[in-house]
Amino acid sequence: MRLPRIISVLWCVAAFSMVLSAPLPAVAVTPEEMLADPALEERARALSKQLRCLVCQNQSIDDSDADLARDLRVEVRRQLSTGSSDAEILANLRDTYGDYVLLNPPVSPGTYVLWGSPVFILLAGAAIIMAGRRRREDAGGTVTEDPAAPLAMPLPPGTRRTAIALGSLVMAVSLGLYLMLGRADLPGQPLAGRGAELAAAADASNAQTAERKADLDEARSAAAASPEDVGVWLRLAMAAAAAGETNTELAALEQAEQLTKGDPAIRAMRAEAMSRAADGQVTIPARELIADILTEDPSEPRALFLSGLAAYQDENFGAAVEIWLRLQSLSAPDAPWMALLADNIADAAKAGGIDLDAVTAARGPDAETMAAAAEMSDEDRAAMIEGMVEGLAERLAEEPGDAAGWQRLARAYDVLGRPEDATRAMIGRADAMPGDAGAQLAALEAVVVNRLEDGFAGDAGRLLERIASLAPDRPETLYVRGHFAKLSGDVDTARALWQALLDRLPDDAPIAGQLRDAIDAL
Amino acid sequence: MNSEQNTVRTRRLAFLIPLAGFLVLAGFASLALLATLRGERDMTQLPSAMVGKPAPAVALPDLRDAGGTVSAIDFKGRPFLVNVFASWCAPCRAEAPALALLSEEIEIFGIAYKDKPEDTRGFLATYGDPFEGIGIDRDGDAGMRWGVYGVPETFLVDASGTIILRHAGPIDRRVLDELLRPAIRDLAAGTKP
Repeated sequence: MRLPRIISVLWCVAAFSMVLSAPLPAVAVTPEEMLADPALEERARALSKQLRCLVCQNQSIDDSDADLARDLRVEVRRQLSTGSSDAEILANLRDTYGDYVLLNPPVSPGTYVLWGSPVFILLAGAAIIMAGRRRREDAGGTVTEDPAAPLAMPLPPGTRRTAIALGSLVMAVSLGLYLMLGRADLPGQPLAGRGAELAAAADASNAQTAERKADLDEARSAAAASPEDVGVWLRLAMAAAAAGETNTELAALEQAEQLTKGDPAIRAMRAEAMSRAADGQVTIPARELIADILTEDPSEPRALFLSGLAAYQDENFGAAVEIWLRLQSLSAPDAPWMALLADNIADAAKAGGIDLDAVTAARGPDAETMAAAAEMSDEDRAAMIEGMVEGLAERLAEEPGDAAGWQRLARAYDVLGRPEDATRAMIGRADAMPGDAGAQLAALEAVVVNRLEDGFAGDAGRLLERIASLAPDRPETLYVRGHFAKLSGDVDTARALWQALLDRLPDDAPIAGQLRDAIDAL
Repeated sequence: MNSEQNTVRTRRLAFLIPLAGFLVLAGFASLALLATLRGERDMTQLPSAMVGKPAPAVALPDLRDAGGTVSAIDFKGRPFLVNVFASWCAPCRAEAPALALLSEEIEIFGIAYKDKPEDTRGFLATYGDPFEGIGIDRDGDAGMRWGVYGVPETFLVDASGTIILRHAGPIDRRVLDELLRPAIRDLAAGTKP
C-alpha cells in the first residue's frame, strides 16, 4: 500500500527535475525582424509569447518558424512602432483572428467552464473531505467491527501521519508542476529526444525507406543493364512508385511504352501515374492520353477506370456510373479492382442522385451501352482526338519509321471520319515496314475499300511491287494485283491473276461466284 | 444498525463521485472523437472572428489591369465569394473544379496570396480562371486583414458587404454541397424582395 505511493511521489519529483533541466527555448525571431529600440523589441517579444501560431496551434508565434507566425511577428512590431499599446495590439489581432489567437483564453461566457472547473473541483474535494470527517465524528469510531466499511477503519497513528505527509507532498509537487507547466508562454519542447519509442518508430520507417530505396537502385541498374527488356522497365516503374519517385516512374513507363510501341496497358499505367502525381486529379494531359488509349482499345480496364474518374471529377456522375458499369461488365468477377469499382459506382450514383437499379435494368446488351457511352461525350472525344492526332501526325512526319504510330493515326482518322487521311497513314505504316506483306496488303485494302485508287495510284504501284515479291501467291495479293491491273486497263493480266486466284479457291467459296462474274465482265 | 448501514452505503456512493465525473468527461471526449472520425467535426477548422464583420476593403493591384486596383468594395451590392489562393498551393489546384462550378452561381473575387503575378497567370491558364476580379496580395497584407492563416480560404460575403461564412482549406464535394451551396441559396432567397 505504501510502496506505490512512494513510487508515484518519486515520479513526480523526477518529472519536476526534468522540467527544470529542459533546454532553453529555441526562438524563431530573426535579426532582421527585430526593432532597433530595445524597449519596444522587449515588448514585441513579450507580446509574441502570448499569441498563438494559428497554423501550428500549440506554439506561440515567438517559437514558431511558420510563415504566418513570421507575418504576425512583423505585424506586432509594425503596430508597436506606430505607438499602439500592448492591449490595443492584442485587441486588434483578436478582432481578426478571434480568441483563439490568444494563448491565455479571456474570461467570457464561452470559457466559464474552463476557468471555473479547477475552482469547482477544489471546492468539491474540500466538501467531500469535510463531509467525511463530520460523519466519522458522528459515528464516533464505533463502526470498526463492521468489516464492510474499510474506509471508516481508523488507521494506526503512524500510518496516518505518513499518509498526510505524503499527501501534502504530492499536492505541493502538483502545485509546483502546475505553476511551471501551466504557463501559456512555456517554450516548446522539441520532439527529438522524447524517448526510445519515437526513435524506434523512426528507425522502422527509415528501414522501410532504405529498403525501398535499395529496391529502386537495384531496379535502376537492372534497367541500365538490359534497356531492351520491357519487364525490367516495368519493375523499375513499380519500385519508383513504391518509393514515391513519380518522375522516375513516368520515365520508366515511357521507356516501356517505346519498347512495346505504345502498348495500351502501359500507356494506361502512365496515365495513372500522371494522375497520382497530381494528388489523384485526372489531369488534362492524362485525359488526352486516356482518350487516345480508348480509341485504340475501348476496353482497356485502367483507362476505363480513369476515364470514369475524370467524369466523376467533372461532376458528370451519369457518365462516371455508365463508364464504370461498363468496366464492371467487362472485368472478370475476381479482378483486383472490383471492390474499389463497386464502391466508386455507389459513390458516383449517390453523388449524382442516380438510381443504380434503374440504370442496370435499362442497360440491356453490352454493345448498346458501349454505343451509349460513346455517344455521350462524342463532341468532347472528337475534340480530344483532333488535338491528339495533330501532335501524332507532326511527330510521324519527323520519324516515319514508327509503324505503331502510323497505325494509331490511321485508327484515329477512321474514328474522325477522314478515310483519305486514314488511308495515307496506312500507307505510311506500310512504308515503315516494307518487309511486312500484311502491312502492304492492309494499306492496299484501305485504298480499295475507300475507293481512292485514283488519288493514290503512285503509292499503290509501290505497294503492289513490294507485295508481288514478298508474297506473290497469297490470295489477297492475286486479288488486289488483278484489281489494279483492271483499273489500268490491262485486262489480260487482270484475268490471268484472278483466274489463278479462282483456281486456288475451293469451288464452294462464297466469293468464288463473284470472282467468276468479275472475270466474265472483263 | 440500519442508520449505520445507510452511512456505509452513502460513503461508498461518495467514493464513486470522482469515477462518475471521469466517465462524464470521457463520454464527451468520445462523442467528439466519434464526430471527428465520422467526418462531422473538423478539428482543423478554427472558429473565425471575421464572420459577421464587414469585409476588409483593402485595395489591391489588379492582376488583369497593370496600374489599376481592385477590392472587395467593387463587389458590394450583391453577394460574392472571396477565394484566397496561390499558385504554390497544392489544395488550390484540387479545388479549381469546385470554384469553376461555383462561378456559374456567384461572382468570385480572387486574392492571389503571396504569389508572383506571372506564376498566378500560369496557374489560371492551367487550372482555369473562375474569378470576376483578382487582386495581387504580394506580401500577404490583405490576407492578414481577412484573418487568413493558410491558403486556400473562402469567404461568403452578403450584399451589404458582411462576411457570412468562412471556410479554411480546399472546397471538396462535401463543402460544396453541404456548406457553400446551401449558404449561397439562402442568401439568394433572403435578398429577393
